[in-house]
Amino acid sequence: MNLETPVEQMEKKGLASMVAAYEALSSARAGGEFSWLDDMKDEAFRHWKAEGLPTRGLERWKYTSLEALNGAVVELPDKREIGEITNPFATARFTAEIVFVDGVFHPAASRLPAVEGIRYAFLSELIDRSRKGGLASDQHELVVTMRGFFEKGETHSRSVFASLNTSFLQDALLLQVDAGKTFKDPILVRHVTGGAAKRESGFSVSSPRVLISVGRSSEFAIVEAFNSESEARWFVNSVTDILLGDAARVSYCRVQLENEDSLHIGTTRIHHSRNSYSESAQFTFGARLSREDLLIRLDAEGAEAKLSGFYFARGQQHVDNYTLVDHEVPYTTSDQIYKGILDGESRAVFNGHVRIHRNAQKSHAAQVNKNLMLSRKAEVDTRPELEIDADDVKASHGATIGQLDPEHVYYLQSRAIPKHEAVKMLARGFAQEIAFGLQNEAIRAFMSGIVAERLNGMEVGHE
Amino acid sequence: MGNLLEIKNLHASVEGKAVLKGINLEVKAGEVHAIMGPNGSGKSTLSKVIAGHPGYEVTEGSILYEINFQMKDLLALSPDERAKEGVFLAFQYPVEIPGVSNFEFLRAAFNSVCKHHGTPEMDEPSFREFLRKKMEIVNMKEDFIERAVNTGFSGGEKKRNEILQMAVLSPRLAVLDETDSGLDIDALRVVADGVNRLRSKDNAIILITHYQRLLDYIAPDYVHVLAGGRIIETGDKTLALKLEERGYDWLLQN
Repeated sequence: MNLETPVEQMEKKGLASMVAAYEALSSARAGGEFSWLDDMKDEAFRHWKAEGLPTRGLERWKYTSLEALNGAVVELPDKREIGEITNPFATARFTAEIVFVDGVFHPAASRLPAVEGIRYAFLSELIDRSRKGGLASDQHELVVTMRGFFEKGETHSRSVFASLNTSFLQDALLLQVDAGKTFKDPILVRHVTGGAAKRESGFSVSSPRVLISVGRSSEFAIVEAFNSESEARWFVNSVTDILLGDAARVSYCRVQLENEDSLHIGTTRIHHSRNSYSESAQFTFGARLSREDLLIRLDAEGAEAKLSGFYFARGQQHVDNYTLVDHEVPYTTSDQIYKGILDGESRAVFNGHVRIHRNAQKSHAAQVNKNLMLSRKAEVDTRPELEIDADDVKASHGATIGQLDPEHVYYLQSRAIPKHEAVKMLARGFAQEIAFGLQNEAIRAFMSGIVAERLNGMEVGHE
Repeated sequence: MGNLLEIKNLHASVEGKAVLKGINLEVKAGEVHAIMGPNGSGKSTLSKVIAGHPGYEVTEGSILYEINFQMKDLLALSPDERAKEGVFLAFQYPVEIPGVSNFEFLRAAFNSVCKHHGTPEMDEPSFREFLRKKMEIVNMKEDFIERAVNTGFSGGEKKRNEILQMAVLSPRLAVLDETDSGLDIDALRVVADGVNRLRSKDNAIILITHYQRLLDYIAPDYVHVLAGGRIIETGDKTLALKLEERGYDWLLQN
């Protein structure tokens, strides 16, 4: 029998400050046409309040402690004047650039040209308009789409962090691509945190939410980039849902470059349809602690998912990638490769879980995780997991953890390249396999640039 | 003219096992020396020691190398410092480096040498132009530039890549470690032509080989026979022909 009071349980689970923050919010409800959203937030609140923070007793959180969040004071960002937002990226090749600051759309820093076949909608703007005099019928339609999307996310999978995101989100982006359109040039969504909010302990919370719908037989490419404008401590809890129509194709890339005091939790859910294709890539460089969940359901025949990732951790950083691919029907394919470089006293976790359900005959699944250790004090826990209930499938998985091959270092040295440069070049080569493997050409150029810059900036010299 | 390289009483071991047991060799600029010998005689070890491989320990003797008209202790220099001073080793088994393009690799190598000598480094477009000309020497296809270093290369391509690197770095002392092994006759000709085009009165080449065949294309000034960690015979190119005909046994029996 549990003798703890609910409040004590809550404190133990570390979310007391969140509960207080949510209760304080209840005055600021959207209401009116958006009362479904209020209900959804409440429902999500009940879910995460009952569940509490995941602990290391859970299989999926075995190697990652959320101690930093446990009992931490958590606040929602103040309404504040936002100054100039800098752009650290080379964005010339992006069709559009959508900037969110602390989880809220920031039109002044965004570039949103009208593109036939792509619709953008922002939850905050829609709520605002509906209050100021009602929505036009096409806007109303977008609200319905958005709502459907939120509900779809709930049925795909539920998690404490996705629920926290739903409860605390202040805005959401809906990107809708019409059927039969091909867009090779990507759209960039930048999630910037920082600005004036500065605290000694605890976190400010940002809850970015992105909903992407790619219509039948369309092709679309998108990058979500997360970075900090200051050294302020943020807890960024992002959720992205991608919905693919029949034979739709998406190239989706996330790059996380937040400051090394921050905590980053990302959840990406990809919903496939028949013969649809997703290419998703996760690049992690920033945050003190980061956890990315990539959840893919292949529940329509011919659906194919390619997953790739690269993480670079140093100092005290902790990076955790969890991927779940569910092959639920026959003729589905998944292929994943994650690579990581660890330096300093950093830790990395890779847990890739592939489930081939009983019915999913003729499915193919491949998974590999490779780690390069630059320091003796770094640590990696890798768990490629394959669960197969069908008998006529092709599946493989594997993991490696190793150091730089001294013969490689020597080969470069024998070509006049000093040792520290040789180490950097080899580390870069190890990483670039992921960036060079990206299929969208503009994203490939963008990401290989970031990888090169990040790895060139590293300090070498640890033995 | 003075010596470019002076090896005196060189003893070296690998993993505690003595391989070189008193090598003496002098090389002048403009000369081509062939070193032949049975398997396990220490040929590759000698090349690795000259190029500074960290797995080989020199236990006795010295290697002097001319830098700015002075004989300097080559063993005191790190592998990259040796390369900057013009020492080059063409590997018997070139290493595959996925993810690093040939272009990036060659430009970094070239600019590292430039930087060392205080000459201006080359930007991307000019290096591309420079590289194209060098690629003609070894008959390399255009797509080679963007391919990862040696990754997925055939044996012949790897060897040609070694000669290309030699062309890019213009070493003063090039040691070619069994560059002919594993090559068919056409590839051998390409590699040998490349080496001949790079041969000049200012540089020296040490050819390590099992076979006389390479020496049909690259005529050596001297042929040395290495056996049991020592040079047991030195002659001109006719010695190689004799070895081809009679093997090593007649020498080893002495």
